[in-house]
Amino acid sequence: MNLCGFTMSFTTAGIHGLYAVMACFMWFVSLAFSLEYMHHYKHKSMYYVFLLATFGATAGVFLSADLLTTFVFFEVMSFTSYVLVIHDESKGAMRAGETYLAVAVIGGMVMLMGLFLLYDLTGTLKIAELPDACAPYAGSGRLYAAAICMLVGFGAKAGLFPLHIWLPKAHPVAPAPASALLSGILTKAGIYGMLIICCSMLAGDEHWAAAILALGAVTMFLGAFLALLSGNLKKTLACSSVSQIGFITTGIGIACLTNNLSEMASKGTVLHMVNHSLIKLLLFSCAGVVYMNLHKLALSDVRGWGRNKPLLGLYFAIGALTISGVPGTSGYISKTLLHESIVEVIEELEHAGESIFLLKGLEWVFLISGGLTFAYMSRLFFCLFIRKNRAEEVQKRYNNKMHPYMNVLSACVIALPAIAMLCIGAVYWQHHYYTWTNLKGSLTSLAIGGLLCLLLKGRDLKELKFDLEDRVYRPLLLGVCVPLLGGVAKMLSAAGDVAAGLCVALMRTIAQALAGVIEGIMIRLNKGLLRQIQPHEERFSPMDWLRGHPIAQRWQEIRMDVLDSANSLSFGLLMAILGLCVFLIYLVRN
Amino acid sequence: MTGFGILIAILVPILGGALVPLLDFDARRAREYYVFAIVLATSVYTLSLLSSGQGSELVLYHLTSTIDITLRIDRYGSIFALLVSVLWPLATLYAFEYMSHLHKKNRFFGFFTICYGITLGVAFAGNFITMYLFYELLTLATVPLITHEGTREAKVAGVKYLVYSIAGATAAFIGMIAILTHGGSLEFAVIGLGDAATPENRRLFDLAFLFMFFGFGVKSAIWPLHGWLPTAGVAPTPVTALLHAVAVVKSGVFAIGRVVYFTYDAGYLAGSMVQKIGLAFSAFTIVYGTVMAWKEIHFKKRLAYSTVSNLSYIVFAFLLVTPSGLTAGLLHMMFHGLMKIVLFFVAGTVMHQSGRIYVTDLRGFGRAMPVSFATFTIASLALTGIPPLCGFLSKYAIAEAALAQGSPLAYAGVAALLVSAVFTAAYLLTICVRAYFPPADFEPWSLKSVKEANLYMTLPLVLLTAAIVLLGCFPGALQAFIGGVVPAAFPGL
Amino acid sequence: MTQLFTLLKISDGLAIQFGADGLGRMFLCLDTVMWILVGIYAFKYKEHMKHTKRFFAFYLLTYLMLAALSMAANYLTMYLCFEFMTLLSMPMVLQDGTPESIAAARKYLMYSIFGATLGLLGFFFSAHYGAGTVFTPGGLLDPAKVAGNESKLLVVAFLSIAGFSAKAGMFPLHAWLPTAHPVAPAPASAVLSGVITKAGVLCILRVMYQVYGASFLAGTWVQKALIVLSLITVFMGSMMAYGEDLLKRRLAYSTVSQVSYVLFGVFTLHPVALLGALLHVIYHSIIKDGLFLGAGAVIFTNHKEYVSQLHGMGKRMPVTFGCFTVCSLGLIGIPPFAGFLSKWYLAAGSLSEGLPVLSWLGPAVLLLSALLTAGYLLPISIHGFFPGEGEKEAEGKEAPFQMLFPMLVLALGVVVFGVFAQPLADALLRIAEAMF
Repeated sequence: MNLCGFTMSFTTAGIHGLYAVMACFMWFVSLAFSLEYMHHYKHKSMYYVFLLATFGATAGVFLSADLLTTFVFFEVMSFTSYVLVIHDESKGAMRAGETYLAVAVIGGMVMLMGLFLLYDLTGTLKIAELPDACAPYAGSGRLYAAAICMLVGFGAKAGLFPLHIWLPKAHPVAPAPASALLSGILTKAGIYGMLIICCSMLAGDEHWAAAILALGAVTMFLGAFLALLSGNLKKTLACSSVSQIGFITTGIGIACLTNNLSEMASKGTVLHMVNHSLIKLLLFSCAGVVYMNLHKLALSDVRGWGRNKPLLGLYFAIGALTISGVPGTSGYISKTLLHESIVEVIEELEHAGESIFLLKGLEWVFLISGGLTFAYMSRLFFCLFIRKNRAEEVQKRYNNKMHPYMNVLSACVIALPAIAMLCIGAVYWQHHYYTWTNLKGSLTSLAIGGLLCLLLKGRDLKELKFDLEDRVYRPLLLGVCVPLLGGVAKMLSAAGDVAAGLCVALMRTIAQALAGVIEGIMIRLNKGLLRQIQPHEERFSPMDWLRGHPIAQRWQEIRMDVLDSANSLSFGLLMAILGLCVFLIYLVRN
Repeated sequence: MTGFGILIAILVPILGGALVPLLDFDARRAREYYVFAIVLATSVYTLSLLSSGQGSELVLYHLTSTIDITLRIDRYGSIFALLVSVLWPLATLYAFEYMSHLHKKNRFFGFFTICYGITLGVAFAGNFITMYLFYELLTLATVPLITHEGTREAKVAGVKYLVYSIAGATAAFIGMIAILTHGGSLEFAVIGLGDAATPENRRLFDLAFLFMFFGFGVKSAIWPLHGWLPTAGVAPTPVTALLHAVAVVKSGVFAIGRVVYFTYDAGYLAGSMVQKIGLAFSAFTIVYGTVMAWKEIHFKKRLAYSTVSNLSYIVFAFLLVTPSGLTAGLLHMMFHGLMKIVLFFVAGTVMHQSGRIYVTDLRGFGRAMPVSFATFTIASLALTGIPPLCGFLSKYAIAEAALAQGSPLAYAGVAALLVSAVFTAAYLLTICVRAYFPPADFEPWSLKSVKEANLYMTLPLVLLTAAIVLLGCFPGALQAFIGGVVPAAFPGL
Repeated sequence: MTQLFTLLKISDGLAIQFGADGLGRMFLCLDTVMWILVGIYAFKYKEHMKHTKRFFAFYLLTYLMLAALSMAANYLTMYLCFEFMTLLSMPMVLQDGTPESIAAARKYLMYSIFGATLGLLGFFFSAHYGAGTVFTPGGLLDPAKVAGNESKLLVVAFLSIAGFSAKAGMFPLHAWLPTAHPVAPAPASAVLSGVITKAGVLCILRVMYQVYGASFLAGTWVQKALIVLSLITVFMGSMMAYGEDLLKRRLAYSTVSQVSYVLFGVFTLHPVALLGALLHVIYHSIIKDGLFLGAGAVIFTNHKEYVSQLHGMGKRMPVTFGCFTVCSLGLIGIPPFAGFLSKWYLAAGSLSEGLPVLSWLGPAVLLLSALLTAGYLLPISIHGFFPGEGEKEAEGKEAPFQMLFPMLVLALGVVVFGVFAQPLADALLRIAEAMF
């Protein structure tokens, strides 16, 4: 298809098709849920328009067969989803939207730069051709530059550290169905790009893989840690998203490290992507149900609300268990695959006699993050569904079953992802996933999580005050970069005018000075001459005392006449010229 | 016979002019008929001389065996004569109306007409002595015109003019003597210094050249000798327009051209130190004049400074000492005459109709005086050098000649030309803008009393403007006429 | 140019000639379409102006000169039209007659004339060293005459191109744009910014490709210096726009920046970059006209001039702001709107041209500028449509249809030319390749 001046190509092969189907599913669920959720909102039509536009764009991203097409849809997706983020138009929403948009635009532009470089280097952006096209440039600085630029773009969307800042801001303020999509599938668009970078462009590049693994490790731990400290329902889920993206990134890193040879890593990555999409759809929808009824999200406020709502509890529990990777769920399968792929690499390296220290560290981060996941999910579950609210009358109100807290349609569609997850879990209910070796990892995580739960039981955790965006990015960008560059620009902008002004002023001054050089001499000369021609009329005259008298007037006239004729150069000159002419005539006569 | 014809062309206006004060006309109509008849007759006669009498010669008197008073029509002089004889009747027409409110009209028109004859004398002079004679006469004859208003300011201006001019002419005279005593020829028919230019004499001749260059440079307003020109702006407008834009200053330029191409020659000057000095001074004056013009807010003084700058264009072109330089200079001499006289006339018209003399006072005049300002705008554009008006053509020719000559100073001249073009736009177009697009708070009724001038004034303006446009578009004939000077000045080619 | 029409032959080598080559046709089409659209708009906007007859007279005269400029077949004709275009468009700037507008008009005049004078310098040299006078792809210089004078000609090439770039608003001769645009009536700003700046681009194209020739300038210091200047402008314009509150001045700075995108592509001397430049000429014209008309509609209908006054205005003027937003997205270069493709080609051409450092610095600066473009345009739309809680929302009403219509057409153009760009790009590629 020829659009936007170049050939747009699409494919449904492999993950492209898978995620397109995924997108359809997710939009179906969230749209259906939106019907109830958005019932009391203003500007509903705008919401739906942009929701559907985002759907189209997202599907386009996943189906694109070349990176330019990806980019086109990626940008459209960023802008249309922005409207979803700020749909509430509250102060917080506007600010979060600002962050979201800034990250998206900056990421988009940097990514475009990466595409420029890549295209210039390889001459193609077709995803299928990339591995071959990039192979000759393996290890070259320009390829790295392109990859880094693209990683910034895709990573920003995925929520990779240190560009994860928009996630914890944007998800809590967006309408819940939109959050579900943002978290469940828009981040996957970023992951999709990272897959291309790591598995098509730079497959097998150890340095790159190491960097990706490091980023993945930081992201998964940091996300989980933040989630644990968060006191807001949706924010916890958002941080959890960050953490899960870290898990996926780790998988991608391993796949990259092993040059796509590790089946476990590839499988685990994709499966975890799917899992996470479904989980977040489910959990955010649950959070949406809570918000729809209470219009509150702080954990201290919603505490105990779900005590007599078993259906919701069940949904939530399925999600929580899956994300924690409890054996029997699909989450267990994907996490185990990821974990085992790490272990496999460690073994290979051990076998080859190389240092395994870092990878061991990674494994532990993986396990600890898994534990943290279990901890914060159980915390949420307990808070919502088990514990009682601190204020008695509030709890009483919560227990009151006056009207249904969600309608049938919502209940049905929210069930869909839960069922899907259970199905996936059931599909993989095979013996070899449940050997002791495999279970060990999961159980270690759960043990850590359980321990943490016990430790933190009943304690209120303080949210981390340090906000990367407020403390680092914004001051750096708005406080340092903008004034600095703005100052430079102002100076440059004024340079033309100032130079022109100076130049002209200088010329003026010089001209003025030069005009005076000879003039000064001449004025002196003139003064002398003038004295000859013009007698001082102010000089005292004896007739002065007769001033006003007719005699004096007459005298004055006579005097002026005399002066005129005597002093009149013109008279003399006329005479001279006439004389010369007479002379000429005389000459001619001869 | 044709030899005497030259003398007739010179003497008719001189004597006819001298009669004006003596006849002492009272009636305006009679004086106008008389003066215009003389001027028109002279012009017609001169033009016929130019077409038929090329090369004719009249030796009036032998002072010594080597010095004589000779009149001759050659192509170089014809060009100047052509310019003068075309402009004079129009300026006279304009002057009738302009002077209608001033006193001592007889004296004025007398001298005004006398100047015509003397200027033709300068044009037709056959050797240096004769040219010098008429040159001095021109100085003398124009002083009363400058001091005409009789105010102290006018008298000061007159004296200043006199002092500058006489001093300059004296310097030129010294140079002339030096050439004469060392065997050089002062005859314009003989090109170059001939055998006299031996290496021993070179230093002396160089010095003589400088004396003559700066001597005549007074009238052609080379910095730093230009001071009289803006001051002389106090004269009645026809004087400033015709004399200080055309006759007097152009006779200075004309004399420099004579010195460069006829007394000296291209072979002597090309690449010499004196040429460089001359080029440097003229290039500098181009910029200087234009900056001063831009700075000045007195309408006529602004134009006077503009003249300072433009005269140096011509001198600069002459000093390139190439055929294209010569023709380019002459072309600009013609065109500048046309353009500047229009500009001055409009300044005079404004003064005459409204009494305003500062450019800042001209808001909304474009509506009040449509014909004048239309012509002013066209002339401004031409002087700025916008094709296809004539000013562009001559500037292009000068730049082209400079590039062909190719020395660093020539390039500097091109740069000066361009700088000057920018400032020209600045000092002229701002006037137009102000006149046509007054500020929002401008009240049209404040110009209610300002009317367009009558036909005496507008007719010359329209005719001259038409010439600016037409000569810009179809310069072929004029260029061919000017091109005829090249074989005379460059006998080697 | 195969067929020439000689209007006036002044003398040998001096003639006023016109001819239609692809480049000229493209600019003529652009000028005409824009003039019609903005003209429709101006019929309504004139209720806001005094001296409407005068305005329309000069509006049409400027168009005449632009058309002539597009068709100019030699340097002299181009210079002539350029000068007259300046002179005839200047009255549109001082339309209001306020002291500021008069000062702005004077500034505009002086900058343009200064630039044109430098262009005239180029004419002198091209006439002297040229083998002919008619613009020729690959340059019209006579190699025999040029031999030995290369360094001189390079200086002149630089000066004349820098001179014509005054019209295109390139640093350091850009200062007239932010002064002139805010004071001019909106239709005038629209054509000044959208079309007349492009006249400078056309002149530069002619001088670079058809007088000196790409091969003469490629790789020389002239090319590098010009690229650096254009990049400085790209950055500076965006940065200044980012910090500006007066809407029309913000747009003017944006023009400064965007036209230098075009110039960057032109200076790169690479067919693909040139294609990008030509595309951006068209795109930027459409977009910037749309933006200025939008700004004008706000001023006309609701008397708001500052960005900070526009909170919630999008809800009052949904169509205007809708068009404005579409144009903004195009200017930032968000696919699939017009503006993305041109930047793509600009960057691709620059990278494959392979000048050291500049080849990748260029695209980087372009992207930084795109970022800033997002920073200065998007908040207007965002605050317009989503004023946010607690913000005081502006009062106002939608602009009349006569003003909306051109904006809608332009916004549609942004979409259509963005999505179905291939025919346009193909046509322009032929033009671009013919320049070498």
